[in-house]
Amino acid sequence: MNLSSYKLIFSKEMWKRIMCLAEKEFKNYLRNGWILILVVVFVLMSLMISFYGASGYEGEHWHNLEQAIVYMVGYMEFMAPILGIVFGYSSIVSERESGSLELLSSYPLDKGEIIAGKFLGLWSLLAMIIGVGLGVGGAILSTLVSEMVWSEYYLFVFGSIMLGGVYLSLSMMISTIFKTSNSAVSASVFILFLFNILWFFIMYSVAETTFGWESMIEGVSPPTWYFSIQFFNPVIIWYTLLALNLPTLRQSAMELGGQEVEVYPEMYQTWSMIIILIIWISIPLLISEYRIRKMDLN
Amino acid sequence: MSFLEIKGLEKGFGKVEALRSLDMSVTKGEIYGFLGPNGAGKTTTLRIIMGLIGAERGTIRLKGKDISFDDRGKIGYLPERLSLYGRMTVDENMNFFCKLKGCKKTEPERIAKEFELYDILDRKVETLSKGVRQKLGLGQALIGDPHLLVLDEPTSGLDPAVRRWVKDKMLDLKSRGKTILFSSHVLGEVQEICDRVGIISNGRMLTEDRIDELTDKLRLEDRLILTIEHVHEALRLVRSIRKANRPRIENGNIVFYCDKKNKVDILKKIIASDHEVLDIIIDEPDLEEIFVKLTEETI
Repeated sequence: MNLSSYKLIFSKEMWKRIMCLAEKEFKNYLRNGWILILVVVFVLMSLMISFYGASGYEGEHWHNLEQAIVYMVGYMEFMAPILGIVFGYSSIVSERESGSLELLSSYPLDKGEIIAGKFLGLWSLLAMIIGVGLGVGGAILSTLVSEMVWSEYYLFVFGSIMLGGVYLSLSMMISTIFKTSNSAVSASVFILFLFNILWFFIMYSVAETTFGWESMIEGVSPPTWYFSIQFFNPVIIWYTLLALNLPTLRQSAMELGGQEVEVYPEMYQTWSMIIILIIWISIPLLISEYRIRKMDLN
Repeated sequence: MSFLEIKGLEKGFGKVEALRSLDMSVTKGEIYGFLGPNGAGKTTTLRIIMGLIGAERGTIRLKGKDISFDDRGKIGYLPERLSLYGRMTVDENMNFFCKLKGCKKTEPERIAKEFELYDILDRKVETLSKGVRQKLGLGQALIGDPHLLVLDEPTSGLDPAVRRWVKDKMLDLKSRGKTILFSSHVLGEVQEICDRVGIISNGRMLTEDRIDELTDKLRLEDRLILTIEHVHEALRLVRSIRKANRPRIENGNIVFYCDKKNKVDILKKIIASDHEVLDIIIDEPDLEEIFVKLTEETI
């Protein structure tokens, strides 16, 4: 970032340009037919999952909010990243391919403003879609469960928007690295595969070959470094954020892992998880800014 | 003082030297035609001026000062591969670019009226023809009332009517005091509207000057076509005139080349002879000849 960019940090004009770009991104993506189809599918799926999750899968067991959220967490674990990737992977590369990035860059816009404007516009759209989808789901839930604890549900919505933001940021970074949309989408899908599937096999292998998975099941807390490594996966951070605040989800996680007692270390706190998610959003954006600044538009 | 002055510009892409110590100067209020074969470095030069790619060496000065980020608001740009936001309307595109430059809210409407876009403000850009999109592209370049317009192949791929419209618009903008730097492959149109041209080949500026001065500089000859009686005997006469070069018969006419200043003397001699001259066509050297002569020497 050069000196003139620093001078612009708090300028009103800079924020006007960022918001103008954000508005453009929001409108432009919202008019994409494929995005609209995705939104409709997402809302319908949320409706179905919230309805069936709350209305009794196994008798009374599912008739509460937390169980419904547990059910929806499994869905959002993939849906939020997919939405983030769909919005992010083409955000830079497709404009570069079409030539509109060249035109945009000829305007008095700092490269950081381009990244910030695009991210804010797309994240707003993603937040709106998740908000609408889970909002409708929440409305259904509130009619089906006896005690609707909105704070828990809000946290779930907030966490999902943050997770979508992380994947949006990551796929935007990928979009500044690759020169074709095809490569960018492939790399983004690989990231999804890595964090949502492959990671668990890797961590299982690491645990098994070091301190032994069995000891964790028996209630022995793994070493600190094991928890620290988990910070490198935003999905784990998101899940932990929810698990820390939703006892049923935590219980469900323990049952899934075969654990009998909770093994979270002290550093796993709600605030620390939120900060780590913010870092997960910020670092790829900073890399994107660096990449686009170094980019020759030819 | 030049309005836009480039000195010693160098740029490479890997092992390819795209620009080699390129010098260029554009005077205020002129239309400057930037010519060169494909891959000569025209677009690279224009992109460096716009700050889209960085140069390895060299300076670019606008109105005597090194060009900076803030100057982007004062330069209008039309890229060769124009891509506007297709899902947005003409009005939304214009307003978007207007907001980026911090212009008055009335500016898009004014430009839309000037560029014959007012009736289609609500149309999505993806539904427009290439010609109308180019008009919109040129309109967006004028947002913010820039001093300098940098247009990369502005008439490329357009039908003759729109091409004419773009040329007329460029002349109109020049009459309003705008300075225009544009690249083109269509030499005829460059000759028609440009005050000066710069010819680039292999990343190096071969020459830049007024077209008439270039023909003198390059000693390009006029081509004379005579329709004359007794053509074979007349050819012998023309051959006897020392300053009439390369005389020959083409399609029943005598064709020869000569220096501009000898033209009248030669014609007087021919007319004074017994051969009746029915018609004389004087073909002055055009930009194409200048271009071919210069670029052939370097390729």
